[in-house]
Amino acid sequence: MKIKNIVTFWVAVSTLLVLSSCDALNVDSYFEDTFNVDSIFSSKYNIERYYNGAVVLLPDEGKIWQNSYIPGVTATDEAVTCDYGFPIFQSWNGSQFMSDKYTADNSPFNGLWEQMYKIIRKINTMLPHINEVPDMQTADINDLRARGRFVRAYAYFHLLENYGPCLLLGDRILNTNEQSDYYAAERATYDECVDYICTEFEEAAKGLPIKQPLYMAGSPTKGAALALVARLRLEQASDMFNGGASARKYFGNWTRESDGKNYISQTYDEKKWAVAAHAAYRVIELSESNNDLYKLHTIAKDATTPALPANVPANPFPDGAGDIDPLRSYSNLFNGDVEAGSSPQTNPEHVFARMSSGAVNDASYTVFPNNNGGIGNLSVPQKIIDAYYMADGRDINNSSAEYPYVEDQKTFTSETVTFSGYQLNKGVNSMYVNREMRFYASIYFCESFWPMSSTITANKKEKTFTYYSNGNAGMNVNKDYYNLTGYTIKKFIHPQDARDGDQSRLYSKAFPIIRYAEILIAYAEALNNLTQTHEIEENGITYTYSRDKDEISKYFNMIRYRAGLPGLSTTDMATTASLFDVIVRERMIEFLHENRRYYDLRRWGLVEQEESEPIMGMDVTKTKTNGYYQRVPVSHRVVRERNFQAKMIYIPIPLKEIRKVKGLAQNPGWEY
Amino acid sequence: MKRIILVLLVVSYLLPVFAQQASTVFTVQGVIIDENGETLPNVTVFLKDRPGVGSLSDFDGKFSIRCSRGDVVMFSFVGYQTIERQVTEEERNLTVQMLPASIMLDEAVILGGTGVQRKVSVVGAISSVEAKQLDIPATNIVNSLGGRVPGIVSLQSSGEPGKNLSEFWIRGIGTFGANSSALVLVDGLEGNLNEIDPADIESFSVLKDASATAIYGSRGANGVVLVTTKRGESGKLNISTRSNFTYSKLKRLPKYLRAYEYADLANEARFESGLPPLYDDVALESFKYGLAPNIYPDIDWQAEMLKPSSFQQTHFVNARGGGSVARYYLSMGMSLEPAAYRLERDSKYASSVAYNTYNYRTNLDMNITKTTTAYFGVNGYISNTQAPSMGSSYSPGQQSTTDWLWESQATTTPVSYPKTYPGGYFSSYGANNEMTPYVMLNYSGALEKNENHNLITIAVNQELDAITKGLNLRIQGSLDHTSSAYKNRFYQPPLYNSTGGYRVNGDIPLTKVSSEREMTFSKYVSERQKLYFESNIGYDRLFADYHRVGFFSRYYYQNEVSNTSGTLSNIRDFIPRRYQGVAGRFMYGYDDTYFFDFNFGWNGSENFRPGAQYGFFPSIALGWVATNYDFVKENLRWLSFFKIRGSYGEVGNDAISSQRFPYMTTINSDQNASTHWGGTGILSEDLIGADNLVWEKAMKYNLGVDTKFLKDNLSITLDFFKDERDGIFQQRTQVPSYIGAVTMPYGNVGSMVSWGSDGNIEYFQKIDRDLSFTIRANYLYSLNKVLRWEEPEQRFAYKERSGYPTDIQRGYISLGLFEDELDVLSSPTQFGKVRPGDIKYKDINGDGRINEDDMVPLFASFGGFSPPAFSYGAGGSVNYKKFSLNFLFRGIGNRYYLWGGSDGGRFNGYMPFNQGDRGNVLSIAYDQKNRWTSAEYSGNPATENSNVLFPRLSYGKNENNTKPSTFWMGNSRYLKLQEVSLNYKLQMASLQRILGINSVDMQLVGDNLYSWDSVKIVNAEQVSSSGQSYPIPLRVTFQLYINF
Repeated sequence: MKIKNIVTFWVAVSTLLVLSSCDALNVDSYFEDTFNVDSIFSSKYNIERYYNGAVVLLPDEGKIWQNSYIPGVTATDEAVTCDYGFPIFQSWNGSQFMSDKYTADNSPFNGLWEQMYKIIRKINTMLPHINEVPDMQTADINDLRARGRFVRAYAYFHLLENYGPCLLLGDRILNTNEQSDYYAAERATYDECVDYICTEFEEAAKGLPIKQPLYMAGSPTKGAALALVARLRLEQASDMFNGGASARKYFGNWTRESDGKNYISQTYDEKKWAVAAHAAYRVIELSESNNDLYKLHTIAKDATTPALPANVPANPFPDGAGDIDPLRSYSNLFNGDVEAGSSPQTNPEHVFARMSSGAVNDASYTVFPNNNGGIGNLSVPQKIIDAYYMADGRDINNSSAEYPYVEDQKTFTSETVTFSGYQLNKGVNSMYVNREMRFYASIYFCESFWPMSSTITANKKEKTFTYYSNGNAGMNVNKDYYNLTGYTIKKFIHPQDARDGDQSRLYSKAFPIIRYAEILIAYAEALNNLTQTHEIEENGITYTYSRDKDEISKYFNMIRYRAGLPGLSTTDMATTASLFDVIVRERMIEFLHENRRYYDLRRWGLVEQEESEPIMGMDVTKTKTNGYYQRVPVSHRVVRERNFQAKMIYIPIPLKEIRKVKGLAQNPGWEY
Repeated sequence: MKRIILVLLVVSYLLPVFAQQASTVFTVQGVIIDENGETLPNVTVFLKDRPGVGSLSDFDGKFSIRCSRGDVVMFSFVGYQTIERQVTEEERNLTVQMLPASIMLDEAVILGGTGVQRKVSVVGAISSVEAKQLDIPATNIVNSLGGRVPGIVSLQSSGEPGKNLSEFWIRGIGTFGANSSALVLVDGLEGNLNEIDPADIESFSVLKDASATAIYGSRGANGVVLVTTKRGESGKLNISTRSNFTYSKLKRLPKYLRAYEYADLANEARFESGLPPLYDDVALESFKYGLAPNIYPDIDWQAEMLKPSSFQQTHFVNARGGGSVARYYLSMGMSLEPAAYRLERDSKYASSVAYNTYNYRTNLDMNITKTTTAYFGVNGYISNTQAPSMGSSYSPGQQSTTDWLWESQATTTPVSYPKTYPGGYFSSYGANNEMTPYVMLNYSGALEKNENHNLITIAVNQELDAITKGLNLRIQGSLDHTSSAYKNRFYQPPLYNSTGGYRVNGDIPLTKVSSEREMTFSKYVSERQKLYFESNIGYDRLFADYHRVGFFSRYYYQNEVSNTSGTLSNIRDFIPRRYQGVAGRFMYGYDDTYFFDFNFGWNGSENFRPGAQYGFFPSIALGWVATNYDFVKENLRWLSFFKIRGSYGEVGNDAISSQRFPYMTTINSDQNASTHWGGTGILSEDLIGADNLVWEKAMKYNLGVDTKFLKDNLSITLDFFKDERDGIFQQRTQVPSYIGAVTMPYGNVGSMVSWGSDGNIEYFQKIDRDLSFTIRANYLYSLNKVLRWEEPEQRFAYKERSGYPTDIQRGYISLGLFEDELDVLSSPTQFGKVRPGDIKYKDINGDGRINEDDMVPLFASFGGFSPPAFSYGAGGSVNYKKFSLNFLFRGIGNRYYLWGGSDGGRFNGYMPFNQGDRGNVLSIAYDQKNRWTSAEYSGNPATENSNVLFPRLSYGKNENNTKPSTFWMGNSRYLKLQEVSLNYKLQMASLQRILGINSVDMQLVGDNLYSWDSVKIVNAEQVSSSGQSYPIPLRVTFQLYINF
């Protein structure tokens, strides 16, 4: 081999290597059949999946008990619990929140902020490209765009409800790798947020279907969008957000740095109530004009239905309760009972609901007592128990001879009675007799009968639990976690549900996000606050709203009749204030453990007052004969530490975010 | 091609040589002498360009060779400069003096790829070390670099065989980004210093500034270590062996309290914590007098676990030789290094805890044509580690199992449990019924780890003088294969505890607290393959006697595939890691006085989006040799050499943590997931790409002087450097969540500066023919400061990371101990219930309470994970006749650490009873003058002494005293007598005649002999592990070299 040949050979080989490896750093070929950003918009299938990626980031609305994503029930007077957890005993998120254990840096609710903005970015990424997807028809495009806007508005809705005024991005997608000045931003005011979110929901409503097919149950509908608007508009008209005393007290000095605007409006505007009334009415109109799309859930009466009290109209529902079984009508709405061919989620009372078996049934762990598959520490305060009416709609302090209320330690039922499939045991204290049907549907008290009929293990079913200190669900069974008040929540427990024993199972359940009942009562509340007639025009039709007593009772009474109670009385209706009190109480009862009270107390400005009342319960440290049946303040540490502070109107914005975004104001009272 | 293969197969100097034309043939005879005038045997004498013709000089240095007119006779000998002499006529008494090659090496510096460069023309900052200096019986080369090589700082954190490998940095740490370690090139290929036997090393240099590292591109941003291994040389087969035997002794184990003192102090701690005493008088007496040892044991777990000493041995042999056509170098070595654990003879798993390694190396060089040489190299490294399994599964990345032993000996108290109960029942430790260190070591199964590394290299070098004089082309390719396997058998015997007291018959009632865990097997396998290719063109020529012009250019490409079970979960892991780039150098020198270098790297990295993958990084260097002027030579006779050199350059770095392709937004697809709204299938971004990423850039400045005085006897080199890093990759933290990115992208946001100086001085004096000595010293001083470290805005400037050195330790400022209750009441609130005798902290922000906002930067380099700012070494040798004595001192400057002040078992011993009944207590704590005790307990107000090492004792965690603070601060600076060695060279004609042995070198080496420091409790180099790691032992080695 000659030198020349060798040189030629080397040059050839090395040139070849250089050329062939010029593209060595290009790794695109490895990603050929994997997904990249562009392929999201290449087909309807893909863009739908991308949209799904945003949907799955929504929190489970039913997760309001243990490990809640928002403060939830234990942050209100609806429930208290002992600590529980492994390896470290810990109070529930809501309890800790109310005990001021969290800072803006370590709040367990910080994740929601991040999560919701991720949804918003995904939708903003998707919306401009919907038109480019080759295999989408106009109808598909409109449908997906409507759903996209709904999800985005719903994410903002979560932000606004929990963090208060938020950062509105509109359709913007911010760059991911800029310096900090680029990210400077200020929060919108509360009103700006509500207006933006409502507009978005309304736009979404235009493209959303009236009803979703069964396989898409839970997916947003026109009604869901409008109902969320109704909820927001009612909130916007309430004391805290409409220049009321509480708005001035909590947010009087909270202004935006750049323009000095109050984040929370400081001037009262009655028109907001009219807007709220209209927003609620739109849902009613939608329902009524679509063959009663929504209606309160009822079940026909049968032989076991107890006789109606004389003061309840015997007309067929909705003009009375003559043809329904009130207890089952209410209880089957929550406990997962299904009529043939439907799912708990498609109940016509659910304007928007989520199949939330995981969250709801997980929480039942804290309902079922020790030794029966649970830890039994979820305790409902006496205040809730007392709020329930007597069977004839009277207050416990003003009961009638026919349905008397007796509170002492000696009077007990002498025999077991059964009505509407419910068994009221022999030996139940007189406090729990003659109460309205929603009480029996919602509350387990001492000596309650627990059917637990799915299990076949004899000693794990059909039990009567007692919360006396020496009872079978009392504190002696487990000194670390036990029931603190003598009451727990029955609302989401089906008679068949059992957590222990062979073949025990739990029914799948829906968690109601917005029930039709809420729309009706919201309509009543909004009308109640009007002092004059307001005209609102939409789509060329003029709607007028005023404090029309007939209109109010027509819709409000449906809720009462469904529960087997009499309608509003003239005393109730007398003034705005008197009716307001009735509404506050009605919402407390009707929506118990539906995550409404936390927000209701805040918007009404009543939270500080209500939270300052002591948490009372039966004396679970005593035996049946030795003083159990007396109301005592709950003295457990978790309850003692509760200490409402003004800053707790809102959860804090994550401290890290505050430090990163120039101009981002923290909620009043929280670390910044 | 056939010919090439043929040449490869046949060892060329065996080829028969045929006679040349008789007319011009004559004989040349003579004698060869060395620099001292003594005769030199075994010198290869051959004819240039006439492969196969040659002979060797005899024992008296005489040689004879037949040649023809005009031939060039070559004289070549290992360690000496090759001599060429043209012959024209017959000669009978030619005297040839050969000079040692070390003089030549002194003149030359190895530059990767560019081959050897004349030292005078080097303008970059390069330190070279004589290979001989590294040939000491250290466990590996890296451990011997610190103190020897200017510009390198190394840290050794464990003395355990297999883990006793130092970490090292060139000029300290320059970036807080992903990768701050140096590039190590062995014969031009990325390699591992731990795998090289020092005897294989031909040259060792460290490239420190940008002009020197530029041609290595991004890989060289943190400096480059260049190692070349020995090659074969024309000449007679030369075999040498080395064996050494090392005795190593564990030094500086933390001393813990024995039972009585422990119990006594525990009672004090209980009292100070308001708790009833734990041990009554019966117990205390029993501990004191060793009564009832099964109930009141007194076990020294350290002694149960360790032997005071162990023996290691290594053996090494190499063979070197060749003819003018092919040359070879072969070596093999093995090292057997057991650890000093005390193993029970009856243990079923009694394989010793050991680290054994085996290595081999083959370097073959061939002349294919007059201008073409080929190189073929194979080397390999096998290591085998054995350890007890500790009854747990193990996978790489997990804390090493033997660390548990150390943790356990620091945790298990002498009073806890006896070693075994009568009848051989094993005791268990702690609330979770753990194994005691004794059970762990002997009865918990076995772990074995094998690593195998092989490298094959082929290179071809072509002189292209035919095209233009001075041009050459070199192509090199290599295949690197590493595999490792872990095999684990784990087991736990049943464990028992006494329920207290004796039975009437003297038995002890036992309960089984933990059942036997049956033998389980697990394994883990990992494999890596690396392909590397480079082609180089070089040119070097002297024009008109003054103008020296050179250039060099390289293309390189690397492809690395990793196949490791368990980690290939993501498509990113499947894609081979690739690099490629072009680098170049242009050199110009005028009359060996002025020098100019221009270098560039054009590097490609997969970490950037197509189109932005390549970065161009230039550097320039200038040099001026003042001593080349005649007037300097005449007027400054004492100054024999003076050179100033300066360089500036940019180097790119593309290492971005473990995240690959950070520019790419990737989508995760799940076709089956469904939503609660009835949707099926989910697509979501799993990583947000940052499309504006660019190279991290280091701007490196260097200014240096090289000087020689007094006829070259004294030489001093000084370098000053500054590195500015810009665009350091960080995962963004200031990007707020509200933009909705699924992950935080990476950005070029960090910046940092480091600066310092290094240098060395060497003095050589020859007193007479028999006696000479050398002393040398070097230092490295390097500081750094983070200019920008992206973090969410901090409320106080001193809480930021920017403006401070990287790895800053933060803590509270201690104001001493609280004197009394009044002092507590009148001071800001601290942590938990504070009492007199607890540590009092300074309220930095003056808000009346001590919390995280009062933590201030205390010192850099916490925990020993980053190098000290100042390190130095000084050594020397004395040669007398055939004896030589070498010594080395090594030290570091101020380097702080915390010897208490955090949670967890790491500080067991340092914070007495921090974990209640877990954790040993240092014996110094028992000395009353070292701790604060309330007068209430001691009955003596003098014991409320604030000037102590230990604050008020508490039983269980003291929330206040366990915070990091200046109270617990110590200084780990040290000066070590690192090494002393005595060498005797035996050279006897009779040995040569009878056994063929040319020389025998006998060496006695002491390593890690003495340390001056204030740490005392543990080795100053190991403060970070608080006595929970194998100490660096004192080692004494007998080493024997035999040269055949």
